[in-house]
Order: sequence, then structure tokens, then C-alpha cells
Amino acid sequence: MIILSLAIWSWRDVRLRLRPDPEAQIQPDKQYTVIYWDFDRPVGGEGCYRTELQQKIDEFEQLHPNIAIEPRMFSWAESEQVAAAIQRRQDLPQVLSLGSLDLDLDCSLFVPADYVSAKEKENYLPLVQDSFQLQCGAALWPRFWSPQLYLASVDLLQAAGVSCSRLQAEGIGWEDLLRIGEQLASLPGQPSVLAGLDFRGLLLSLAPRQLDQPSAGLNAWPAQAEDLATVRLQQLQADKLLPVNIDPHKYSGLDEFFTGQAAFLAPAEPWLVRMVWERQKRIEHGFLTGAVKGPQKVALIPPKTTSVAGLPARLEGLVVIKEHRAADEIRAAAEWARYLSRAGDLAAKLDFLPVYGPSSQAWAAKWELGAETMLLELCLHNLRLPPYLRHD
Amino acid sequence: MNRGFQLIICCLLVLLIARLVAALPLKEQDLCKCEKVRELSFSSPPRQGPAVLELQQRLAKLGFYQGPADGVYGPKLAEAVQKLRKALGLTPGSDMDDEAWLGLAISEIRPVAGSLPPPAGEISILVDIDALTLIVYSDGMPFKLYPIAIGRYESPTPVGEWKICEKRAGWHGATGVRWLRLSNPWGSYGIHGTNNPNSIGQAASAGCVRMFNHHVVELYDWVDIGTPVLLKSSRIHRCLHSPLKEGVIGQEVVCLQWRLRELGFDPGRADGVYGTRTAQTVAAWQSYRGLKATGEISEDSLYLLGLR
Repeated sequence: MIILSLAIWSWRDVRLRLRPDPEAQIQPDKQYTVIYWDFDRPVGGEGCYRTELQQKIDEFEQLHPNIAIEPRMFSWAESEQVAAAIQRRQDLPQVLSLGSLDLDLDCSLFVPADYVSAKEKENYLPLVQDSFQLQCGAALWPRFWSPQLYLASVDLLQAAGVSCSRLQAEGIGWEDLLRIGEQLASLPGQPSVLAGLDFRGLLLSLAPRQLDQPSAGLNAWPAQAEDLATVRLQQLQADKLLPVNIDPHKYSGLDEFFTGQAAFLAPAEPWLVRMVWERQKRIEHGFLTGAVKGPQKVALIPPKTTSVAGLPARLEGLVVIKEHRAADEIRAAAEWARYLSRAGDLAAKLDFLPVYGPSSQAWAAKWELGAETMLLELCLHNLRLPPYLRHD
Repeated sequence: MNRGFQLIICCLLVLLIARLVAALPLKEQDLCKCEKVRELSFSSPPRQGPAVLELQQRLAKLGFYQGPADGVYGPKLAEAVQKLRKALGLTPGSDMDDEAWLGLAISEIRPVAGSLPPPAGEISILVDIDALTLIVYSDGMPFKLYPIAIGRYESPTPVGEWKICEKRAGWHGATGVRWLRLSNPWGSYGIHGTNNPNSIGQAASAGCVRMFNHHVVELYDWVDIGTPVLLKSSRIHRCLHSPLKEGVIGQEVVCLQWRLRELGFDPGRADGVYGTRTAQTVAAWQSYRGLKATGEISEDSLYLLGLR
């Protein structure tokens, strides 16, 4: 029994160490079927994610006539079932879109990070160059990313004598917030400096950069950051830059921002920026009657970052499963992952940003952001994402 | 054909149809009380105004009235009403009471110009409140368009996605000769005929969709219980204020359901009922956007959905 156990243990160890040959080629006279698992996603308007994905599959199959993609879609709420299926190692897909999956998965299933060559990473945005691997060492083909920025009320900042273009160029940090808060306090109505979806999270998001520590995503701040956020909240209240009686777990300040009484809204991801932009358009066109107009002009401001902390962001990607597959079959699956990773036109429809450089022009055109494209460029070239640790 | 002969034929037709309709009594309390029963009578000084003018025009079209279209309920109009009542077999008099209005409406029913054979496909109805039209679709293709009257500013026609849940034939003064109830959960709304055809093309009702009697007669035969009806209007994009949660019913819920659909989520039929499915869809939206998945719409959520 002991010998049998040792043999099983050794085999497992050997198997984990087995690495697929990254030099393996697709056999031109062999037919491949790649099973692909993805999560259905909401696409606004008349769109449908399944249709969009099928279009990508058709394009890919035209380029690779001997590779057929067999998709299976799960609802967003089925993450746990998908994770359980992966853990059971039964009916495994070959390519998996991580979607909302918590990455507490057995990484020995996936091809390792060194499977992705330096050449394959060319033309991806500099900010995702560190994101081609999971924390466990598995390879990740990044797909979309979503920066967490500050949305500023330009009108309010101008009234307080704050240069918005300077903030856009330099980014905003804790000291800037305090200074701007004091300037705003002299205006009629004493507007607030901050509003946010998750006010405590917002304060936390500033902390790691001050501590100069790597960010582990919004859900995994170091304990020092928690303490610092509490101190800062108290400071904002003591300085009368925030109401004294708020509960940071419940307070958002959204009402203040949308009625023109708060200078910044954060964290502002592309979907929220689009929502604010759409709201303004609807009010201009006479819809949303009864709504307070709020900020006439808004601008995106990046947070101040250091080389270590990186830009707070969400990133989504694809993994390739090597289990029970020959090297050429893994290569066929990796081809599909690479193709999908570079198909940036889906990103705009899903309110994400593309990770592949050549896709970003198409993205900017679809988003019709105008001046905001400048900030996008700034984000793309001057900032970097933290290594991919977990999906929020 | 001389006018006298035309009048006799018309009167005979009116009598025949009136008898048929009278055999289909409706319970007044079952129908919406969205319209007033109008009564006009000969008096001194004479009544005058647009309602009288409308009556003159309608009786003139049927050959009962040959006086001036001046909007005054004078002796000539009273005489025309007497002729109408006689033709209908009603008690003699010169008043336009509910029975007389019914007879007048029935007498106006005529074959629809360019009438079509019944649509062969699956029927659905679109009520475009902005365009004041009702369109019948057959297998998703437009089949026929009708002019309608919709709710006044202070009593707007509700928008949403409902079904025909009741069909009634017969006269009920204000709702004309046919009544098609909508499965709207917060009021008694329907598609019906009218005792005031001049109002078609206007925002004149208390919320129901009003049609010409001869149009609603045609529509009535085409639709079944369960026929889907979509009522839409751009005017609905108004600001929402109230927090919403499971159990709430109303127009604001329809706005929320439509908005969720615009954003790519599927709350099912936008029927104005914040049920389990709507709550689950709200939770899915919240979860997808990294918000706390409560399934309820707070004031913050209204901002984030662009509804406030």
C-alpha cells in the first residue's frame, strides 16, 4: 500500500512538472476541436454576446480551417458550478474564460506562464505586459481590462480654481484631494470633494500607493491600508470635507456628484463613465425629466501611481487547460486563446478596454470619447497594471 | 339615389344592428370608468360648443341633419335627433342620451375602407403613444395601422408589455361597442371604441386606448385572449425617485425593466411587477458591476442605471 501511495504521489508530481512543448505545431492534415467555456455577458442595445462570440469563432475557423471551436456558455451566476466542474477534472474545456471565477483553481491544470513567448506578447499594451501569468504561475492570455479612475466635475474644479488638465497629466493623490477639498470649502454650498460607489473602498484605493506597496486588488488591501483609510476618513470629517455623521459603509455621495455638489466620483470604470455620459445626453434631449442636471462637463483623472503600485484595475483573461491533451492539441487551443485575446472590438461593447495595442484605435472610435481619448492614451502608455492576482 | 331612400335604408340598418347589440348587455362596473357618458339636449338658451358641432357633423353624414354646422343646438338639430331616435325605435324626444349615442355609434359602423382578410400569422399589437397609432402585427410584420386617442397629460396611457385578458362585445356608452382589457396590474385599462369619434388623434382619454368603433370591431375579431400588447412612448423616460424592491407594482417598474433590458439583462416581460425575476435580474446587474447584490434598487442604483 505504501509503495502504491508513493507511486501515485510520484506520478502526480511528475505530471505537474510535465510542461507542454511550446514549440509544438498544429498538424495541417489533422482536424482539431477546441472546447471553449465562457460566461454569457450583457451587451447593451440589440446586441447579444453569443452572437458576437460566434462571429469571432467564424472568423477564427476561416483562418484555421482544421480547428473547430465548440463553445459552451454559462450564466454569470454559474461561476461556482463551473469552478466545481474544473476541480472535478471531468469534461474539461481546453480554453476557459475566467469571467467571474475566483482563481482558487488547481493551476496544475493550466499551461504554465513560460508557454507564452516574449514574441507573443509583442504589441500588447505595456500595462499588461506583467499580466500574462496568474499568481500560481499559470499562463494567462489577457483579454479586457477596466481601469479604476476618478471622474471629475470640471465645472466645480474650475470654480474652485483647480486646473483639470494638470490633474489629468499628473494624476491625483491624497494630498491633492485634501488641497482641493479646502479650495472647494470656500465655494457656496461647500461642495464635497469625493463621492464613490464604495466610499471606504475608495479611500482604501488611495492607501497602497501612499504605502508604496503592491496592490492585490480592491478586495485584498494590506492591514496598514485599512488603518490608513480609517485615519483619512476621520481627517476628511475633521476638516469638514465630508459630513461628520456618515457611515462609510453606507455613504456613497452619488447624489452629491450627480447634483453638482461633489468634485470627484471614484472608482470610475468605463461602464460608469458611459452611464454618466449617457445620462447627460438623455437630459440634453429632454428625457429624464425632473432630473437635476448635475455636472455639465466631466473629465477622467488617473490616480497617482508609483512603479510598484500600478494602476488599480480589473483584468479578465483566458487560460488553456493542458490536461490529457497532446502538445499539438494544446497549441491549437492556445491559438484560439491568442486570437480571442486580441479581438479588441468586443471590449467596447462590454464596457471594457482592449489589451492589444492595434485594437485600441477601434475601441476609441466606437466609444466616441473625443477628449477622453487623450486620457486613454495616457493610461495605455504611462501606467501599468499590477500583476494579475485575482478577479474582483 | 335620393336622400329620402338613403335615410330609410340607413334607419333600417340602424334598427337591425341596435337590436343585435342590445342583446349583449355589459355590466357597467366591469369596464373602465375612464370616459364620461355624454348627454346633450335641446334647451333655451340653446347649448352650443364643439360637442354640438361634432353631433351636427355626424348626423349630417348619416343624412339626418341638413342645417348649418354652427355648433348651436337649435331646432333643426333637435329635429334631426328626433328622426334618429325614431329610426332607432327609441322613445320620442330630442335629447342625445346614452341610448341615442349608442344608436349613432352603431349607425356609423361601416366596412373598413380597404379592409383586409384576417391576418394569418401570430398576432401582436403595438400602441405607439407618441404617434397616436395602433399597429397590428402578424408574425412580427406590420399588418394594419389604426389611428387612436390616448390618455390626457394628467391621466397618461400606461406603457409596458401586457396581454389582452378580457374581450367584451356590446355597447357601454363611453367605451363604444367593443372592449379589450389589458392585463395591466395597477388599473383598468383597455383598448375600446368610443362615443366621441372626433377625439381620435388626440390625447383625450383617461388612460385607455380609444379607437373608432368600426376599427375596434375589426380588431376585436382578430385578437384572442393572450394576444401580446406593447404600449410604448418616449415620454416615459422621466426621472425616477422612489427606491424599488420586490412587491412594488407600477409604471416606474416598467421603466426599470426596460432599462435593464437596454443594458443587456433579461428581466422578462416589462409588466410593471417587481417580482422574483426582476429582483434576480437586478441582483445580476449589481453583481456584474461589482456592487452589493441586494436585488433592490436604492436611490444610488437609480443614478447608476441612468434613471435619475
